[in-house]
Amino acid sequence: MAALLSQPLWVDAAQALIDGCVDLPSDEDRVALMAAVCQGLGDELYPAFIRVLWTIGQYGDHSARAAVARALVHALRTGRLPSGRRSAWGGGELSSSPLAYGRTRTFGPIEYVCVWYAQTEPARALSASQFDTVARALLDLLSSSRDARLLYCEKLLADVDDPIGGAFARPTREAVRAMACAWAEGASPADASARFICTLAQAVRGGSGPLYPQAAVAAR
Amino acid sequence: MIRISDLAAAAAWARPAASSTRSDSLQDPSSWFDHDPACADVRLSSDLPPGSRGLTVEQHAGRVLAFLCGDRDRDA
Repeated sequence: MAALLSQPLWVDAAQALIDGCVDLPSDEDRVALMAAVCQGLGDELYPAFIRVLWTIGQYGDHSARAAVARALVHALRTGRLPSGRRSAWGGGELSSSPLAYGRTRTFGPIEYVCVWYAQTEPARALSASQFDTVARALLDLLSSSRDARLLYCEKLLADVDDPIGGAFARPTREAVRAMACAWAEGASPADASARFICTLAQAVRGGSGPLYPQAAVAAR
Repeated sequence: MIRISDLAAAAAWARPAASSTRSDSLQDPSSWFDHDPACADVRLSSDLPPGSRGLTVEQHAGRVLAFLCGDRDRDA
């Protein structure tokens, strides 16, 4: 299993991923690059891949972000979005146990941070500020390509409308839907992120379902 | 326009407050997404340095991973 450096060189890694997306000759190769990075990191360190994308979204110039977004477009079109495994709602924390089969789902970077914020026990969850920071950067990165934004919105809406996917608790589904609709209609990344946070809060206040089903299961 | 303070207030409804002792350690990946003032002047570009040209998929992936995980061949 991969282990991170005590001080990972996030900026250098982000520049190296951009370099690869610029240098490689085909979209297939660019998708293969992202898959190889995620495979090298493994599920436990998938957040490090998100951190690299976050760095690109936050500090990349337009052409750098567009190079990576173009690769993500091809990944979306071919169903190979670089994804990480997390517990589905009700599934408890990520486990390598064979008995965990069926309780985990794979999530693309945006869905991953949504679930990390909304469906994770508080001590391990993203704070609202962290969620807002990373969600905005990811949405910024994808917004550098119109195709990437629209395709990702379609994917998010398909995910939340999947009746048997089981990845999201109901409040999370409502919040992802609100964010995706706002983003598809042209909302800024900041507004789309805010829509997620506010809709989630309203859904929980409205009692439309438990936000921490894992915690509820563990407490039984 | 929604301010971050509004988001924090909304989030308080969404779930219990997270632990107040967020460590910077690798055990807590959420801390990777805290604002890093050291990066304020960073600009990433698509200008390709000579050493990054003409590499294979594996070589590019190895460069990314080396910055995150170190050079596994060297460490072995």
